[in-house]
This record gives sequence, structure tokens and C-alpha cells, in this order.
Amino acid sequence: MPFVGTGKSTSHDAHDAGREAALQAIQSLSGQQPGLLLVFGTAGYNQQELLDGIFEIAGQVPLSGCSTSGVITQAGSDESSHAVAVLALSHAAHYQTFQARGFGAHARICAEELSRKIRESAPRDARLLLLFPDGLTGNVTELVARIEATLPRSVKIAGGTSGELLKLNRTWQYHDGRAESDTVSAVLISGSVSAEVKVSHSCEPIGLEQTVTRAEGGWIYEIDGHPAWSVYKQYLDPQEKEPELLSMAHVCYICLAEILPEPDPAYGKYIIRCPLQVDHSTGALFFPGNIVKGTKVRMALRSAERAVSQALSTGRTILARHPGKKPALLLHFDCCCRARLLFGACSADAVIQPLQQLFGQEVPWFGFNTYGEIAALDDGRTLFHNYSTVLCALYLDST
Amino acid sequence: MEMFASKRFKKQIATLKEENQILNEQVKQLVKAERRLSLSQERLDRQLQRVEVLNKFSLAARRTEDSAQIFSLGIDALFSVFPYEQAVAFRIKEGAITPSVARAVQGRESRRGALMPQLDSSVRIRTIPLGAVIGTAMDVRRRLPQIAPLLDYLESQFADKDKSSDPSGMAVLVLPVFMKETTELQGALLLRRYATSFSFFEQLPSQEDMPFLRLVEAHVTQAFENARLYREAQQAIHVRDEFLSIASHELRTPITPLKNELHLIKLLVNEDLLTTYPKERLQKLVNIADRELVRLTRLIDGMLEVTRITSGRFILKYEKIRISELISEMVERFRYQIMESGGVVNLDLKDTEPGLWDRIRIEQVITNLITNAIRYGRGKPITVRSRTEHGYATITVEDEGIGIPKEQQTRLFRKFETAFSSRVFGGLGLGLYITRQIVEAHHGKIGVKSTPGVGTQFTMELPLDATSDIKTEKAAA
Repeated sequence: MPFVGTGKSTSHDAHDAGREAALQAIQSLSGQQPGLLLVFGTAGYNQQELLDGIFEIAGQVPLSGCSTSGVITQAGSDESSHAVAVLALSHAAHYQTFQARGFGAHARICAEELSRKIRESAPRDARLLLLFPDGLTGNVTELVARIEATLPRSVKIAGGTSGELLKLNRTWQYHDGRAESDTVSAVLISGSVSAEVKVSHSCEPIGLEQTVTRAEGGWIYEIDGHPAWSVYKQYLDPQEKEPELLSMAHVCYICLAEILPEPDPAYGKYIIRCPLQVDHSTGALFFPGNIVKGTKVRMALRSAERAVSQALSTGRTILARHPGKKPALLLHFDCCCRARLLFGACSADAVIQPLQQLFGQEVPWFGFNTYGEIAALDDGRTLFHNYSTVLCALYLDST
Repeated sequence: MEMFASKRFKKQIATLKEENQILNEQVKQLVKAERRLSLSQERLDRQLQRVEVLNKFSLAARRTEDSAQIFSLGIDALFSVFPYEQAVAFRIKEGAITPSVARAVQGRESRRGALMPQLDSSVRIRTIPLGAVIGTAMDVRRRLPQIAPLLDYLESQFADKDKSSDPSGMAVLVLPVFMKETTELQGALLLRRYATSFSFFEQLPSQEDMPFLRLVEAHVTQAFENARLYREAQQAIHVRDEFLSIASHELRTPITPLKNELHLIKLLVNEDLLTTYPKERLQKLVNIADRELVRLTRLIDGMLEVTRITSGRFILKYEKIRISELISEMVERFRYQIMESGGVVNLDLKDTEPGLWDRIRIEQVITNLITNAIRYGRGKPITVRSRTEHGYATITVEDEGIGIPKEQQTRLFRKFETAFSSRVFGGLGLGLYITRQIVEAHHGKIGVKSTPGVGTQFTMELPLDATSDIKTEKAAA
């Protein structure tokens, strides 16, 4: 019996789309009742209607996932306003779904609550925690750090923050039958499975090293004593648009490379940070990665070539760690700024297809375009990233 | 010494810092240049995508002559570029509106499926300004009040899918389609979508997109034009084949008796029986041969006439003619045939002024009209009228015969067309074509009114001075 079944719909009717994708997923699971549904849907839908449609087909199955700016399936990335992908997982593994609310105002409390829930119910053979926090409201760095501190090292953490249509207004997280905002959804996978998580980014640092001289609650007010936005604007093309009218998605080609105090040999010296909001009254930029005062940064520029080469390199590393084995599932969490915004209409051809060729076309492929990525470096530190690709290969112990 | 070294190092460091700053500034400029390049690439990609969309439309439209299919392809082209969700296309003919096709993306289809009923026939739309119109439904209604019935229809068609009745939130595109040559309105595409929930890459058309929308309109217009030309070509091929079949039959018909009569005369000559053969029977043989020869000549003359017309070798020789005199003369010439048909010709000739026309050609016209009236008149009375007024002569030939079906009337004056089977009535179907060409060469016009079973009336108007374009002068006056 298959381990996973996938379904996708692009119907513009939320309820119909949910039904269609769920039906396809369950049918491709050979009609088995799934143990878990992972759902990623673009934000053109009424999110609750979407889940209602899915539940109408699947019944009360544990469900996790979030709204996105694009869904990733075997066919590539779909960033249209109406696309939903459903992954049905069989009972070959065990699944527990979790949720914590109030992420924006009380990230620490939210993280502690989620950690406690997971710790209290996690079985000994827990293998992988998938996290889907609100991509706009809370401090993901703190969330990840707190959860990692309470989980055994044998549990890998991966995931991405929820997105929408690059409007940066509101995102939704799915927990069982509900779609809510400002929460963290999570799913713990246990049993006879093992997970391999790798992350890579696609940016090259440019320019001189600078220091964050004023920052608070995720907002960077000043870099080297200058308003953060004015530092950014030095790299923007004055002919493009009035900077005040630009969405952050327009300027995502330029980002901050935070200098890691302890560089990772495989990952590099920098972790990439993208701003999500600008406050024109103060010139401050909001980074969900929560960069603090005194952090050393450099400006960084995206590179399509590096995006592809680094993603393939992480793929090869995963395969090398499980020689002769094929993953039962490949979860792919990729930054929303690395799909069409970087590669144009052919993002699938550029990144996803070469990766699929590497792992084998028969490996089920599933994921979404995030507002931020969560994954551990090779040294074991789980971090919040931007402008990165996270590959999470799930192996069944029997395979 | 140490102090000197420290000073030197400091200077070097300062120089390096300065150079670093310069490099940093250059990097900024490079980033900006790269961004400009990237944006240009995006624009180019967008243009290429649009060219591809138009090519796809052209290739698909080439294979169809169905207007609904052409509209569907046009809507597909627009759906693939702009994030509209629902559309209705209307065919417009002389102001009358016929909904042609309704389309929607998956999930936004009307649950009722097919198109709603036709629009009230009293609802008409004559003009829409050239070019696409974009805006909210409310805005478009205000700017183009004449398209309100089309918008109403579009809204009703998808009413079961509406989640809001707020017309300010509905984005609409109106793309009128005009005839290529005459710029007469022949259709309109209406597309819509609630202006929310667009992805970052989906954008409704703006003023910048007008050239592309003009291209879509031009492609749809061209597809209609191609479909019309294709239909006409098919029709022409059919008519030509039919003509060749009729022509060979018609040409053979007089040849057979002619051959028979000549064969008999040859036999009489060879056997030296010519002097003993009864004179009245010989006379009859020669008369038959002569009649068939006349018939053959007439057929060939008709074909030559058409060749002259189509090759532009159609020269008129003008002279002053009283139309009543010419009509009387022609009727007298046909007296025998009229009597044979059992009918009578009533003349109502009240023209008062002569006209400047080509006598031979006008005789040809009157001949065609009178022979048609005799042929299809069922032996009932024929009336010929003439009037002169406002610089024009009006001639009417009216019969009470079998009449002409409505659908045949528009094709009547085309080449090789006859309203009735040539197999039954004979002829090549060239008479009325030649008639019309002659009338038009005189700057006149000819028309027909007919009711099957009641009769037919041909009316022609000729300017009294056909050497100048009186028609234009009259219109100007």
C-alpha cells in the first residue's frame, strides 16, 4: 500500500477545490483512510471553506498545514491565486497535530505552550516535527529555539512560515478543521520512519560589513546609525517605482546576510534575512528572524545559479546519508521569493525538476512557498531562515 | 622609525578604506543595473508570452469558421493573460444582440451551465467606441451606458456564483469587435472578476495593456473575416462546380439537335435528295438548326460578357434614350414569346425626361428582366412601369409568378446563381449578375421584392446622366 497520496486543485471555488484535491489524495492512497492530511492552499481561497471541502471528503482526519503563496507538487510550483495541494499520509507512521494561539503578541508564551504540549504527548519514537507558524506576526527565531530546547535531539525540525499572495497582510494556519491566523500549527511524526533535513540558501553577500545599531521586537531601526530603509534604498533602482509604493516582494532581490557567530561548514558563514514590512515614518524594517542590536550584517544579492547548485548539493548530501534508499516522501519548503520572482515562469524547470531527477521521479514531492523556512544546520542548530530551500526526506524504516 | 612605520600603515589603511568605499558604491550601481536588466527581462518575457498567446489563437482559429468557437478562443487568450474568471461573448448584427458563448474558469462556472435565454429582440446596440474599456462594473456602466444590456446579461448569467452585489468591486473588460472593412460593430466580449485575491503575478489590464487588447481584437476580427472568406470560397467552389455541370449540360442541349439536323442535311446532300425533299420540311430543319445556333450563341455571349465584366473590359457608349420608347420596343420584340406564355404585358410608362445611357446594355437589362418575368411568371400578367424624378429614372418589372424564396433573394445577383434549378428552367444563372453589373456601371442600383406564390418585382434606378456620379451629388444634397 502507498505511504502517501497527493491531490491538487486549481478550481476557483474554495469548497469544490478542497473536495477535488482531497478526493485525489485519498484515491491515490488506494482509498485508505489517511492518518494525516497535510494541506497547503494559496490565499485566493476562503480558507475555512477550503478546509470544509476537504473535511467533507476526508472526514475528521488530523490535519495540519497553512496558507501559502504557492503550492509545490510533483508538477512544480503553482503560485496562482487559487491552488490547493493535499497530501494524505497512511497509517504507516503516527501523527499528532498541535496548535498554539497568540503568536504575534506573546511569541515566548506561545512557544512554551506548544513545547509543553509536544513534550507531554510525544512518544519515544518521535522523529520529525513540522512547524507552520504565522509568517507575519511572531518571532520565529524564538519559537524555534524554545521548541528545539525541549525536544530530544533525535527529533528533527523542519517547516516554513505561512504565506499568502505576497501582499503581506494576513496568513492562516490549519489545525484539524479550522483555519486561523496568528497561531502556530505543528505536526509530530513518529514510528518506523526517519527524516533527513537539509537547508541551503541562494544569496551572495555584497558590500561592506555593517552593524545593526538599533533594533527591537523584530524591527531594525538603524544600521550603522542610518535608518534601515535608507540603507536598503541605496541598492534600489530609482527608475523602478516610488519606493513607498513598493511591496517588500518587489525588493526581495536584495536582503540581509546575518553573520553567524559560529559558521557552519556546509551552510556557510551567513544566514539570510528578508524584511517583510517597512515603516516609512521611522524608516524601520521588520524581519521575522528577529535580528538584535549589535548583529553584524552585510547586504546580500540573490543568485539563481547558486539557488540551483546549493539545492542540488543538499539533495546529494541527503541521498549520500541513505545510500541505496529512496525516500518515501520529499517535503520541499522553499522561499516565496525564490520561485517565479527569481526564475520567472520556469521555476519548476530550474529547481524542482533537477531535484526530482536527482531523487527519482517516482518519489512523491510535496511542499509550499513560504515566508520563511525552518531547518537545522549540519551542526544540529535549528534556525529560522529566509531565501532558502529546505528539503526534508522521509524514509520508511522498511524501505 | 616605529612612528614612521605606523604612520605609513595608517595611510595605507586609509587608502584601502577609501578604495573599499569606492568599490562599495560600484557594487550598488551594479546591483541597480542588474535589477534594471532583470525588469527588462520580465517585460520581454511578458511580451513573448503574449505573442505566444496570439499565435496559439491564430493557429486554433484557422481551423474554425464557427463564431462561437472564435469567441471562445478569444476568451481563452484573455483568460491566459489576465485574471478574469467569467465571460460572455455577444454576436451583434445590425444592432441585434445574440449571446454566443459563456465561459468561466474552473470553479466559477454558472451552475445552470448553458447560456441563458436570448435577449429581448427589441434591445439593440448600434455603436461602442473603438477599443477596449476597462474598469469596475459601475464605472463601465457610467462610461458606456449603451452596453448596460450586455452587462446585465453577464451578471445574470453568473448570478448564482456571485458572492457580492457590490458593483464597485467587480472588474470588467469590454472588448468590442468590429468588421474589418466597414468598422461596423459585429460583437463584444465581456469579462469580469471580483477585484480581490489576486496573486502577486496576476494583474488586471491597465492602460499599458491597451496595445495588446487591440491586437486581440484585431485577431478576433481577422478570424471572423477569414471565416467569412472561407465560407464564401467554399460557396464559390460549390457554385463553380454547379455552374460547370449546368454549363456543360446547357451547351450540349442545342448541339444535339443541331448535329441531328446537320446530319440529315448532309445525308440529303450526299444522296442527292435535296431537290426532292419537301421544302417545308427542309425549312423546318433549317429553322431548328438556326434556333439552336441562336441559343448556343446566347449562352456563349453570356459567358463572354461575364469575362468582360470580371476583367474590367466593360465599356459603355452613352447616348440619349427615352426609356419608355426603349421598353415599348423591347416588349414588341418579345410579343411572340409573351403570347406563347399565355400572359400579357401591361405598360405604365410615365417617364418625362431622356437619360444618357448605353442603349445596347440597357436593352440587355430590360431583356433579362422581361424574359425572367415570362419564364417564372406562370403566364400571368406582367407590368412594366417607368418614372423619372429627381434626376433618376425608375423602371419596375413585376410579375405574378412563382416568386423567390427569401433566402435566395440576397444571392440572386451573384455570378452563376439562379433561384431555381437550371435543370428545370435552363440558363446559366448569369442574367441577373450581368444585369446588376450593367446597372451599377451606370451608377444605378437594382433590387428585388418577392413573395413565393405571389410574384416578384424588380426595380432599378438609373441616374439620368450616368456619365457623372449623380448618386454622390444626391447624397450630398
